[in-house]
Amino acid sequence: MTRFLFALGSSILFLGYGGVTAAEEPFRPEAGKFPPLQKAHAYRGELVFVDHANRRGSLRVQGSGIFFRNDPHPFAMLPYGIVRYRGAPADLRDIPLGTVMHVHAFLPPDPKTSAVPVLPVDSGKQDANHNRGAGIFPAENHVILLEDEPSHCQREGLTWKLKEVEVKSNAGLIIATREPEKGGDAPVAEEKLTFDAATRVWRRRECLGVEDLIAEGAWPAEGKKSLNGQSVLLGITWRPTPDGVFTRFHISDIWLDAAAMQRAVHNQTETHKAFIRSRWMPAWIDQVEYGQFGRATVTATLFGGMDSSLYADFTKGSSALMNPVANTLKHTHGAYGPAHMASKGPILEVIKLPGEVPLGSSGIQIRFETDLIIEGIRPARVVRVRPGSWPQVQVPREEYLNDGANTEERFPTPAIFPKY
Amino acid sequence: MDDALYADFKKGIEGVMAAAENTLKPWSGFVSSSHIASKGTILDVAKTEAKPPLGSSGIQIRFETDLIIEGIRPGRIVRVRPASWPHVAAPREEYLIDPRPGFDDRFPTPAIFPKY
Repeated sequence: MTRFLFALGSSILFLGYGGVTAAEEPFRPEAGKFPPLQKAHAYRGELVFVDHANRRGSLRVQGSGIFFRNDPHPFAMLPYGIVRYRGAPADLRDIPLGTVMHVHAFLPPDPKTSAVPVLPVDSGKQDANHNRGAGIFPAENHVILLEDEPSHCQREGLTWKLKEVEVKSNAGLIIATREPEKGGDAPVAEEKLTFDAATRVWRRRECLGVEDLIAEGAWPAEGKKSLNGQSVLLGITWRPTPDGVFTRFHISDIWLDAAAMQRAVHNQTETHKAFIRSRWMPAWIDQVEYGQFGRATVTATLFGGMDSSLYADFTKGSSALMNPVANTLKHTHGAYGPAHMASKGPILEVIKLPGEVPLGSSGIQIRFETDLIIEGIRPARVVRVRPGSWPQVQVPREEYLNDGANTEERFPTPAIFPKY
Repeated sequence: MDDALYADFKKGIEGVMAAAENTLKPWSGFVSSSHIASKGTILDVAKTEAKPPLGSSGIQIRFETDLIIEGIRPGRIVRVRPASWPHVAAPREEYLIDPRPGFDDRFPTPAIFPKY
């Protein structure tokens, strides 16, 4: 929390919301509608802090200036925002600090309830001074898609082509280009990236080190060697750079072949599947048809970006539980487990929605009947749903609220510190 | 830590010593942590005979500088870099700017949130 608060503090000069007239009102996502990705602002930055329980964190955003001076920039995941790591669905807790992420984000849907500071809408264009340049504090800090380098490349059909390696003492520089897998005539810029003895090189099911590549003769022990445009996927991080270099990224991982990348995808997918089965599938409510004596039929759209086997567990006729959650996806009333106060009942129908599925949505709707509808299950509100076949477990204390109305329970003040 | 790191501290080499918080954050890192650090020579590297207590390496260095800075006092925490380690600048969240920081600089209050 401390580092996050530090990051928040660094943005104090940019606080405040406004700067445009009603006629120029910028785009903001609306409750109950998945916003089009084309309207998102895209940027890139190093993951510096994670508050996974509140689905927020800070990024050091890449700008034109001196990267190390860029204050961490707070962001919050939208309830339907998707995190991807190593080409697979992920939670913020899965991503190591220092990983360079690609971001698609919007202005806060509702500035009054933002979990991170709200910035002037044009703050992304302001010069941050101290040689940091513009673009490092974008007001678009509510994220719909947060993905690491291999996830980004796989989604966009890109690959890294290694041109040349220069080695000294198991560390050095690689010159590479990121370009379309299918090729093309579009110009691509060469980038210099560092690597060192900690860089992992994945080949099929093997995890190698730089010293192994040197021993095999693939890379030289000292000096330069052409790599002839070898096609790979890279994991990219940042670390302090010597020689007065302002911004240069570091290679944490190299996936040499498709089998190696598929292995990484499989491992991360299994991690995420186990996570979602214990925390429940997030969704939002499309419609509530009230019956008598507390009965109701609820229509909900499951959020997207997860492994298909999770959605397959939602079957017509099976039992389910539905619990209201905050926009951070935190369960409400979880002291006895999220199932304690949740609405229970059968899934009446599983509907695949027609047309193109927007990012954030699974394109799958369920109709669920309960004999006791609870507060929080209302149109446009966010819930989590568990098919009866998923394990009944308790979530840890930081992932549920006792009283959702108490702001301090979510964001404690320094009053929690003892006085001496 | 790994033995290779301690092995870089050798008698006679140049070193840099920066005052740090108990969080190990160095001060005044805006240009880089080396910018206002004390510079000088490692005069001696001593190893204790007995098994060191947990937390200690059992290795002591004697370091001479021609400009001692505030924060290098008995019982205080510093960070030391042998000159052979790379001269880099730590990222913004890992250093303090004001050598006399306010409590808020370290642990901002919710006052940083806008009021509506």
